[in-house]
This record gives sequence, structure tokens and C-alpha cells, in this order.
Amino acid sequence: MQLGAGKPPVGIVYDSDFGNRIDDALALAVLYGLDGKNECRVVSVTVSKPNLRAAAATEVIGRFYAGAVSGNFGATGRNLPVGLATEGPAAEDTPILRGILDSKKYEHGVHDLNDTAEPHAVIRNAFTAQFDQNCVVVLAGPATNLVRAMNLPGTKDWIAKKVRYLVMSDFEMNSKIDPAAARQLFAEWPTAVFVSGSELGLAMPFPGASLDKEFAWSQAHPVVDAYRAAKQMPYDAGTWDVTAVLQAVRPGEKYFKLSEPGSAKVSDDGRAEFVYSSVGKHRQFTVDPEQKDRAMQAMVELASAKPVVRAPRRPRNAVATDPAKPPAEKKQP
Amino acid sequence: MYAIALALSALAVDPATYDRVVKPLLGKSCVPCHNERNASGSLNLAPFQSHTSLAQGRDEWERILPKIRSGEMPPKGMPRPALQDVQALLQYVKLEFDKADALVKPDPGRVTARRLNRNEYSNTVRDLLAVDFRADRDFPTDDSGHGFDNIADVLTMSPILMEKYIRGAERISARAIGADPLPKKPMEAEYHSKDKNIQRVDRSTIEASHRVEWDAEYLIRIGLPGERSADSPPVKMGFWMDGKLLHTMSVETKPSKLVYFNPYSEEEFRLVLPEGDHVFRAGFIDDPFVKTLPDKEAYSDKKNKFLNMIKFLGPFPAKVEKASRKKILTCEPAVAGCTEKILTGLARRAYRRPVNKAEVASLLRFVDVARKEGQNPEQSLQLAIQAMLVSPHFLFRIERDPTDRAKVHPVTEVELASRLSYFLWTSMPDDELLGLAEAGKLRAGLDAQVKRMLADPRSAAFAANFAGQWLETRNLDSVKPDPVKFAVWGPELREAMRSETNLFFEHILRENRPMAEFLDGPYTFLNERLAKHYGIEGVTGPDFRKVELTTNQRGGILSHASVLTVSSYPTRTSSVIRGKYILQNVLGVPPPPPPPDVPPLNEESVGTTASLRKQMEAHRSNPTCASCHNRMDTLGFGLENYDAIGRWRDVDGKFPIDVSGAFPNGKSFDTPAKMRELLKDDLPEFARCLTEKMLTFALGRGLEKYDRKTVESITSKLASQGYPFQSMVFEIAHSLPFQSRRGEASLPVQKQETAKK
Amino acid sequence: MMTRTALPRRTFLRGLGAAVALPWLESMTSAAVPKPPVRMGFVYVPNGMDVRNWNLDYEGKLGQLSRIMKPLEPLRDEVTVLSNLTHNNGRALLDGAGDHGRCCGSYLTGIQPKKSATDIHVGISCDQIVANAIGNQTRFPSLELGMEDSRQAGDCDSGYSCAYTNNLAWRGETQPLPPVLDPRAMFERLFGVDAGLSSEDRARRNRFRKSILDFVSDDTRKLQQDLGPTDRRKLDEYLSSIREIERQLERAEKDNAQINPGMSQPYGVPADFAEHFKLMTDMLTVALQSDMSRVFTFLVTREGTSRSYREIGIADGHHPLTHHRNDPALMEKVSQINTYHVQQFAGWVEKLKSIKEGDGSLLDNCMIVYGAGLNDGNRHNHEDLPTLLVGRGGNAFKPGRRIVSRRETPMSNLFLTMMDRMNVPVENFGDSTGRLSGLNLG
Repeated sequence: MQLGAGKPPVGIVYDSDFGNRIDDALALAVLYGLDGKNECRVVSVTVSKPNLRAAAATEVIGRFYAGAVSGNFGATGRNLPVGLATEGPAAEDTPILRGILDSKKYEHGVHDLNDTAEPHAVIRNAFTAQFDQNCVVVLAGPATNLVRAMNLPGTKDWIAKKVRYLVMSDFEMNSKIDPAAARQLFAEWPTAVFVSGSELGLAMPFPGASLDKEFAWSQAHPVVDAYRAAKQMPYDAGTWDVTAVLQAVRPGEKYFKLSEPGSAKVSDDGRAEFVYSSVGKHRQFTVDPEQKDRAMQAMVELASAKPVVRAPRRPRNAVATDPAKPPAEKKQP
Repeated sequence: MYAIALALSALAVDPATYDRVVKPLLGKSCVPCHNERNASGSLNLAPFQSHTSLAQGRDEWERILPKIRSGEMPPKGMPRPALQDVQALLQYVKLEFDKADALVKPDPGRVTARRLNRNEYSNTVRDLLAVDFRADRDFPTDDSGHGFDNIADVLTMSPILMEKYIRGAERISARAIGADPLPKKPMEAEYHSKDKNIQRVDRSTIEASHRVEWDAEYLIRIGLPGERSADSPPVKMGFWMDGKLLHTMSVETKPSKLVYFNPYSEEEFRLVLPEGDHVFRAGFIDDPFVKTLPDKEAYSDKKNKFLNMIKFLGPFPAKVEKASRKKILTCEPAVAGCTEKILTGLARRAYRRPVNKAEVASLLRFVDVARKEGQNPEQSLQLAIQAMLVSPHFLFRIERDPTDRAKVHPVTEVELASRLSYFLWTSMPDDELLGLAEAGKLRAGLDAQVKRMLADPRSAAFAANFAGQWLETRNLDSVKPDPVKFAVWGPELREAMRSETNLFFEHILRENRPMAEFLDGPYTFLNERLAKHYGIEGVTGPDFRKVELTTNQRGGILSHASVLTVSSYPTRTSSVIRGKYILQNVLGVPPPPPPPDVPPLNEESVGTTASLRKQMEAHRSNPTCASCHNRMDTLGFGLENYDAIGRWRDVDGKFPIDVSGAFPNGKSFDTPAKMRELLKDDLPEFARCLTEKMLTFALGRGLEKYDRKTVESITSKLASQGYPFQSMVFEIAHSLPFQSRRGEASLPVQKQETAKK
Repeated sequence: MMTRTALPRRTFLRGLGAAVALPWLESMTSAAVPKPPVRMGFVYVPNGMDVRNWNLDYEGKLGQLSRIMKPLEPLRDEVTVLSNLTHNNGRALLDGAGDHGRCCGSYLTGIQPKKSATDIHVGISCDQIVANAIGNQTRFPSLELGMEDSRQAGDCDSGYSCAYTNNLAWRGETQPLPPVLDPRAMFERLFGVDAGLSSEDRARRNRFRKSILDFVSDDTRKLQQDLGPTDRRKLDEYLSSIREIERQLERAEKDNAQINPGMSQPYGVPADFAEHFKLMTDMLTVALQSDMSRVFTFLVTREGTSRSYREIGIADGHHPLTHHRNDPALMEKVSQINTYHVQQFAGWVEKLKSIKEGDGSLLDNCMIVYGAGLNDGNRHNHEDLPTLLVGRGGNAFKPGRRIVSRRETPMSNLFLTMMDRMNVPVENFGDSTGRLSGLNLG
């Protein structure tokens, strides 16, 4: 890179099995909160839960914060369409999805499978538009989509060049959902990897009470709706994915304890474990009791941040063919 | 080696001085907008507050300095640093760069083996064999790079080009010797208005494209239907080929005594025509009668006499010996030893270097092959010439490296001869140049040779090719001004525009005038047509002559209709294109491309109810756009008094023209003349721009970092003399990259993907 | 190749418009019938489209077509409309401006061209992959046509070499294949300039050519030994071009009959767009019909062209019009130009359909992509590129439908599928992620 060439904030590639646990949604809210502060940019969102409504729900959140996803992928890496896997377990509808979509309060453009993209294409394309070492991948679900992208020719080179590191939440559970993918990910991913275990999300629960306080500014907030629908209120949600986001975007804040280097591995019977080794490229991050309050404060503040209005990069009402607009009645020829 | 230079230069930079002169200015005036968080224009200047940026960020500094120097940065509205602080920074940084450059090992760069481009091919064939072959009509277009079409790396080879070379070699050698028998029976090619293969240029002129298959004499017949009244005078009819008048004759228009149902007559004449694709015209010259006719009578054969057919009969043997035969056949090929003599001479000139016996022998083999097939001696010689014209030694200009490949070495005298001739003549070296080189005396007599070459008429190719590409006037062939708005546009006007600029350039070159005259010379070259276009009186006749300008409405290349036309759209002017043109071709600071997230123009419908200038204001209301468009549009507006084909105007439709503007340094102008004056303040930038362009053209490659020193030393030397233009040519001919070459080690540097930032 | 008692392949001299069955079926005596070969071609229009008037709002079977596609409505059973195909490598991806240079350079290569005025580097185009594999079965491995001469001076697009906008087909990463623009030159290339030569003269001339080419090949190889690697590579381009001509010469000799072009030699470049288009495609039709080549590309005016269309009353340049600032009058003109292009194309498709071949038409055995390198010419975006696939690829595709792929589906996937159909399967091409589904092979 040339001296003096301004780099945009780090780009985030976010992949999750959105819709199963509420922390996927909270994590996305935190990401957009950080985006609003120019600490990162949400470049691509891909979903490994093969349910169209999961993709629609992520788009709802995206629009809520950042405006319509036109698909016009400019050099700053915004506006890729949402990627959706079409195979895999757990395709059923969930309370979270119902909570976001059934009220029809929020707009989105995902009405058809073709309004989404193949997730590995989106992830690969996202990498191609990042400055070197200016991208971080946050994995909040099984490694299915990431591994499929990694297997596309040339993508490993892109990853090595563009990605600083990968952060994976709850690696035990997410490995169980797709052990083969997890195995390949841990063995072949070219950069450093930070994983958190199941206990981290439980150790730092998201305060459900904040919905009435810090989120009160908003009349209609999709993440609030999702939270209320996910489980019987009041409850404090586990924050596996949220903590992963904090580790990904604000590593310097040292919210968490970092382990000694090692390698995450998946055994033949599908169990994931972390094995210490001096040549390992992976690290585990765990709760740091002294930073816990700070971290939780950040989580709440960022998740409840108001959307930042930016000057539109493309006028939203200009071209009638904006694919983000819901199409007119599907006509029969 | 470079690392050592880097380290040395780093040592030479005194951090304290840097911190005193550069750091505070940047910190106060630049970094507030150009920092890591808020990188305006994708530029983060925080790293530039350290002296290490002089070495590491040299390229960026080179982009930053012109903006500071011109006052473009900081932009209007931001606090400006004191003038002496700016001067101190500029002087200091220049000093440091000069020091660093002095330490860099001189590197002349290297040019890849390059094939002759179309113009070079045509000219070389003309000079070698006296055959006129128009490669630009026949060969695929050459791709250009850095604005020129003679860049080695961009001149690729493809099978279709190879086909053309082979076919071209056959045609050229056959034409050169003319040994192939003409067909026994003459053939006929008719172009008739009923067949639609003929075009009406106007009421009295028709035009047809015809391929002449052989250099030969042809009988040309013109069909003239109709008749005028009994007292009509005869009219002069002309016959043109490719715009050149070949023949005139007088034609009767009154009714003939012969009886016809439909009045009709034919005229015929014989002409020697050259082989190739040509555009032929036949028409009446000075025919006031036809203008008096209403439309429906123009082609009525009872009311008018007009043209409707051109027919070619031939070929017939021409009675005059071809120039090419005279040139090549210095002896009789049937006589023993003659062919060998001819081929030795030709091969040396075709390959542009001495040839050895083996090479001649391999060409002679073709003579044998042809003889065995029953071809006569002249035809056999043709085959050998064909082979020569397809050889890589002819088609490519190859420079050898000595055994120690990676070394810098002077090119050989013979290679230098080719460099010179293709630079100044776009053609092969002549016998004098080649002879001197073979005798090792070229370098010693370099100045005398350059002088001779510039005085030679062949240097008109230099003007046409270099100026045509630098000033983009070649595009006159492809622009299409709207025929409704600009009805006066036509081939005559176009050629006149081209001639003005070529002659102007040639004059400044040949007379070694100061380069400032490009910007604001008080004279130009006109003929009657162009003078009328400019509204200048007192110039009659089709020939061009030097005209001293009495008003400052015109002056310099930015007032040439050619330049003004190629920088416009078909229907209107464009301040953006013209502004970019000035920045790119005059000041050498091409604007960067628009940033990737440029929003479209303001949503409000920008209609045609406002002047162009008003519409363009929207560019500058958005700060993201304004940073470049302020400069660009202002310069373009400065030329708004000239319409899209270069005529002077004071109004545009119903809006009065407003050309006023200001340069970033605050100086303002309100006429094009005033703007030209102010541009002369940037004479050093102009000289550098022109030097870089001419060096690119001369070398056939883009310039690299290591060429900076060469450019710097040429411009500073010329500065002390007032920037005489012809002297630049001499300087370039003596320069390191022109005289020497870096070899290439056996393992090439891997062609890397553009390093992603 | 099947053995045949049939007439030699080349001896079907048919003029245009005369519908005659190929000898394949007629003269076969054995049970197995070789099918006519599949042809692959690409017709490229620049500067995107006015997408309001291009987009269809339904999927599946084609009914009423959009305004710009209207000229193809009578032929809609032969047309497949493809949506959501994307060229990620046409996008900036950090290289800043230059969408025109990039979109054309990446269109058939699937690779982002290197941003340089002189150091041209992209990738081999898919038509050339096929041409390399099957091109030796025909006289010309591929044909490249165009209609617009390139700019004579100045740069081409924001630092991208003019090579990227002048050429559609790429023989290799650094070697473009320039299109033939002049109908007369195309005519001569296909049907020869030998009108006046006797077959004896022609044969002798070919012998001379071959011996010259032998000589220069030898000479070049000797020369290369003395040169550095970059120079050697340059001369490799020269050598490979020679080899190609030698191969064509051999091929031409095997043609033991002259092909009747069915038209007189064009006298030059017509000023009228429709006439120029028709001449080029008429000759292309004969070339395909007589199996002179099975692979072609047609660059119908260049990216960024300022050509005006006075034939339909538009005086403004095409490219400037596409940056219309949402002015409806200008957008209307863009639609007119887009429609005009499709109109010419439709005329050609109709002609291809009218020519009988095998038990169908020549069109049935073609797969021709008609496409733009940009979606909306004003926005310079590279997703959902306007694309039509015309023909059945030898009964492989079922046209007459609109197929919407998922967003971000690489255009390269389509090309991969087409290469399969040409029996030149490759694992990956450009930025492909797999084959394109839904074209209903079989």
C-alpha cells in the first residue's frame, strides 16, 4: 500500500446461523453500532441457517441501521446482498424470526431465494474488495459457509492477504453442528484464529432490563422485538456472538483474557477441543473478571446505539430498478 | 544497491530541519483533513510528518507538491499557511529530492523489442522500396499507452496482424518490382447511382470507394446524364483521389446534337493510379448554375446535367517506369551476381544493420525456390523481398544486450541510428545515418545528424505523429460534430484545422522558438478556409501561410480549432473535457479519476434552462467533487468563448458567455487571452510535461522513477535558455535513457498482480 | 469423427437465404448420424442499458417482452433471458475508477484487468479456451468482429490501457485478438482475395507462403536465443501467430472447393450502422454455416464510445447520454439506442433461424450470448448484467424463458456451462463458483 493512502475502517465479514439464538441478532446490532462509530464496516452478512426468513431478518436489521442494500457493491465494500445457504440442518422457523418478520413493521427486499446470494460467492467477493490486512471474519455459527468459500480456487490466497484474523464464537457447539467443516476450518484457515467457548457467553449475560432503558429511544426496533419473542421475558441472554464481535473489532481494549497459543481441533466423534501448542495459530479468549463490567457496558451501549445517518452513496429514490425495493405484484406472462 | 542509497538519503535528511520546515505546516494546514480517521481524498498525511516519508512516500510527495505549489491545497475556505513557509517547504523538499536522486544509480531503463506500428511500417516501406502502402487502412489498430502508439509493451502481435503482414508483403513486393504480368483482359469496375455503391456528396459531386488492384494506367469514364439549356456554358469537372485533385477537364452542358431518349454523355480520360483502397470523387468545380435549381430539378435530366457513374477500365501497362523499380533494380537481375548485390543492399537497409553472408544466402534461397517454380528473375527477386518484409529483423526493432545481461550499457551505434530515425522521421535510417553508424562515427557527429534530420522533409512525420498524439489532433479523424448544429464541418475544414496545428508545431520546432509560444504565440498558420472560420480577414487561397495575429482572440494551441474540436462533444462544448485536457497535456498533472464512491450529480433535474456553466456549478457545490472540479472546470470555462468546433462566440444560445475564473493562487482572468497569460506562469510545469511526453515518444516506453533525473536535468538546462523547443530534441538525443539501455538478467521479475493496498 | 461416405464437409456451396439441408443427413448411409457442430458466440454492447426498459418483472416462460427486448418478441422461443449474473472482477475492488476498461477486459475472461496503461495483463477468454481445443477442426479457430475503430489518441479509461476496451477476445494474459472492423477486410479474410487467381497460381502462392513462414520461424528461434526473457516473450507472440497462419494455410489447402459467399464484395465501411451490422453478420452467417469457424466474438461498438446514432435521430454521443443525471429526455435516448441494437440483432437471429441445418436450423445449433458489460450505464454497476442466451446449443438448452439466478452468481458460471456444451469442460474459469443451473440441459 502506498504511504498515505487512507484506509477505510476494518471490514467485517459476518457469518451466522441467524435465527436460532438471540445473540446472533444482538451481535449484528453491536456490529452496526461499531460501524456507526467508524470503528468497522459491515461488509457482508451471510447466513448458514437455510431459511429464507433468516436472510430476510438480517436484512431487516441491516436496513434499520444502514439503509437499503442495493447490491451495488462499491469499492468501500458495502451493499453486498445477503448470502444464504440452502442446505443444512435447522431450517425451521423460530420465534426470533417470527418476532422480527411477522409484524411486517420492517421493510426488506428478500422475498425470493433469488434475492439472496450463494454465501460462498458473497464471502469471496467481499474479500476481493478489502485493503490488505484490513478485514476480520466473525463466525457466529457452523463453519459451513466459510469453508465452502475457502475451497473456491484462489480464495485461500485472498484470505491470507486480506484477513487479519478470524473470531469464532462458542466453538464447541458450532463445531458440533458441522464437524467436517469445523475440522477443515481449523486445519486450513490461513490466518490467526480466536475462539471462545460455551462458558463465555453464559458468564456475561446480556441484561434484558436494558430493553426498557437504553433501547427506549426507539418505537420500533427489530432486535428488541426479536429479543422479546425469543424467550419468555424477563431473561438475560447468552452473549457468545456478542463477545466475539467485541474481540474482533476492539482487540486493543483487552476485554477478555487471551490464552496461550494452541490449535482448535475436532475429534473423530465430532467433539471440539483446544490443544495448547507453541506452533499453534489459534488462541482462546475467556472471561476476564476485572474487565467484565466494562465489556458488558460496551455491549449494551453499542447494541442500543442509534443508527447513524450517512450521506447516501447512491440516491435511494433515483432509479426505479433499485432491486432493494419490493417488486410489484409478480405477474404471470 | 538501492537500499544503500535509501539508507544514505535517509541519513542525509536531517530530522531537525524537517521537523522545523515541514512538520508544522503539514500539521496545521493539512493533517486536520487528511488523517487516519478522516482521510479526505483517500489521503492520510499523518505518516508524512516524519522525515522518513521523503524516501518512502516519494510518489505521494510528487503528487502533493504541485497542489501546494499551485495553491490548490489547502482548499478555499481553509486557513492558508504563510507564503514564505510554503516556499521554504517547497525549496527544502526539492533540495532533499535532488540529493536523493543524485545518489541513485543512473538507470536508463529498457525497452522491449518492439514491432513497427502502422505509420512506421508505411514510412519504412516507402523509404526502403519507394512504394506507397497505407498500413493504417489495412492493418488493425495499434493499441496505445501513455498517449502514444509506439510503446513497445503495448504493441502486441496477433494472427490477424500476421495475416496482414504476409498479404502486405506480397502486395508490396509485387508493386515494387512490378514483375507480375497484368491480366491480359482489362477488367471493368462500375460505380453507378442505381447500384447504390456510389454516394452523392452534393448536387454536382459523386464519390465512390474503389480498390485499385495494380499500379497501372486506367481508363476512367464518367457518366453524365441530363442536359442544360442551349446557352449553358461548359463547366470544369474535376477528378480527385483521396482528396487530391488528379485531373480536370471541360465538359459541355448544352444539348448535344445527338438524339437520345434520355440525354446522356460520357467523358473519359486515362490516369496512372496506385494500388490500394482509394476514395475517388468526380464533380463540377465552380458551378453557380446548379445552386439556382430547386430540389426536384437537380436530378432531372431535362433541367440539369449531373453525374451518376464512375467506371474504371484496366489495368493497362503504364508508360512511365516506376520509381520503385528505379530505386531497387540497380542492375539487371537476369545477369549473374546482380540479385545477390541487390539483396545485400536491401537486406542491410531493411534490417537496419550490416548483414552477413549467411543472411543474404538465406534470402537467395528464395530466388532459387521461385526459379524452380518457373518464375522469371524479377519475380524471383520479388519473393526474396517478400521474405525480407516478414522477417522479425524487419518487423521488430531489436536491441541486443551484451553477455553480462544485467549491466547498463550504451546501445550500439547502429541501434542508435534506428532510435534516432524512428524518433525524428517515424521511419528507417537513411544511408548517411546508417553509414556513419556502421563506421562508428554517429555519436561523434550526433548534433550534426539531428540538425540534418530535423531539416529533412521526413521530419514532418515527427510533427504529425508526436503532435497528433500529444495534442490529440489525430482524433479529428473520428470526431463527428453534429451536422445540424455545425453544418460548416467537413473534410476541408478538418484538414485545415489539422494543418494549422502541424505547421505551428513544426515552426516552433524548426525555428527553435521558446516553448511559451505554444501557450501564447502571437501568430499562427492559416489558409482562406480556416481564416474565414476564425473571422480573420485578408487571407485568400488554399495554401497555408504564417499570419501574425492582430487581436488576442487567438494565440497558442488552446485557441486552435483542432484542439477545441477534439475536446468537445458532438453537440456542445465540455468544460470538464477541456479542463482535463489542459491539466493532462499542458500542465502535466492529469486529474485523478473520480473517487469510487462519488455520488451522482445533485438530484434536482438539471435541465437545459440554465447555461452550461450554471449546470456545472453543481460539480462544485459538493466538496467531494469540488476538489478536482474547481481546477478542471475553471480551466475549461476559460475556453467557453470557443464553440465545439472552435469558432469564437459571445453567447451560447441565449446565455452570454462567462469565462471568468481564478487560479488557485488567487490570480483571476476574464478572457481566454488572460487565462493564457496566467498559464505562462506555469511554464516550468509545461516544459516538464512536454519533456516527459517527448521522452516517452522517443523511448517507446512509459517513464519510471529513475527517469526523473533525466527529466529534471533537461528542464533545468532549458530553463536557463528560456525553454527553446528544438533544443529539447537535442537534449533527449543525448540523454542517458536514449543513449543507453539496461540489460535483463536471465530470470525476469515475476509479473505481479497490482499490489492490493 | 465418424467415417462417412458423405460429400466432403466443405462442399456445400450455399448462398444466403437459400434454405438447403446440410449433407450430413442426406448422404449418410450408416446408422449413426453425426450431428452438426455446436457454435458459440458473444455479441457485446457497451455502456450498459437503461435498465428500466430492459428488466422483466416475471420469471419463467416468456410472454410480453420489455421495450428494449421487443424486437426479439417474435423470436422469444429462441431466447433465454438471464438475470442476476455478475462480474465481480469488473468492479473497482480498490482500483478506483475505470469501470469501462474493467468491464470489457473482464467480460469474457472473468479476471480483473491490471490497471496500467502499458503493462497489460488479464487472462485468457473463454472463447479462446474453446478455440484452442477445437479450433484445429475448422479453418479459423475463432473469428473476432467489431464495428468501431478505436480512439486514435488520448487515454482510454482512467489509467486502463486501450487494449482492454478495443478487444473482447484474449488469446492469453497479455495478447488480445483485435477484431476485424471493415466488412471488406472480413470478406477477404473469409473468402480470399484470389478471385483472379487460377487454382494453380493459388497453390503456388500458398507454397511460397509456407516456405517464407518456415524461414522466418527458424530465424526467429535463432534470434530469441540472444535475447532477454521479456524480448523473447514478445517474439513468442510473433511465433505463435505464425504457427496459427501455417495451420490456416494447411486447412485452406484441404478445402477442395471454394465457398460461395452469396454476396458481392463489400466496398468498405458503410456509414449506416444497420448496414454495417448486417454486412458483418451476413458474412459471419456464411462462415458458421460452412463451418469455417465455430467460435466468434462481436464487439458492437466499444465501451465508452461517443458514437452518435443519427440513423435514429440521436445526435449526442452514446456514453455521455448514459450519464444522464436522471434527466428523462436523455434516458429516453439511451433506451432508443439500446432498442436499436437489439433490433439489428433480432434481424440476424431471424436469418440464422431461417437456415436449415440437420433437423432444425442453424440457430438451434448455436449458443449466442447477447450482453452488456454493465448493468445501468449511469451507475456503472456490475451485477445483474443484461444477458440473453439465444439458440439451443444443439438441443442442449430450452429457451423461451427467463431464468433468474441468485444474486452475485458469477457470469463465469454461464461461460463454464457453455464450454461444457462445446465439449471443452474445464474445472474453473475466471471467478466461477460452479456451473449455471436451470438452463435445462437435455
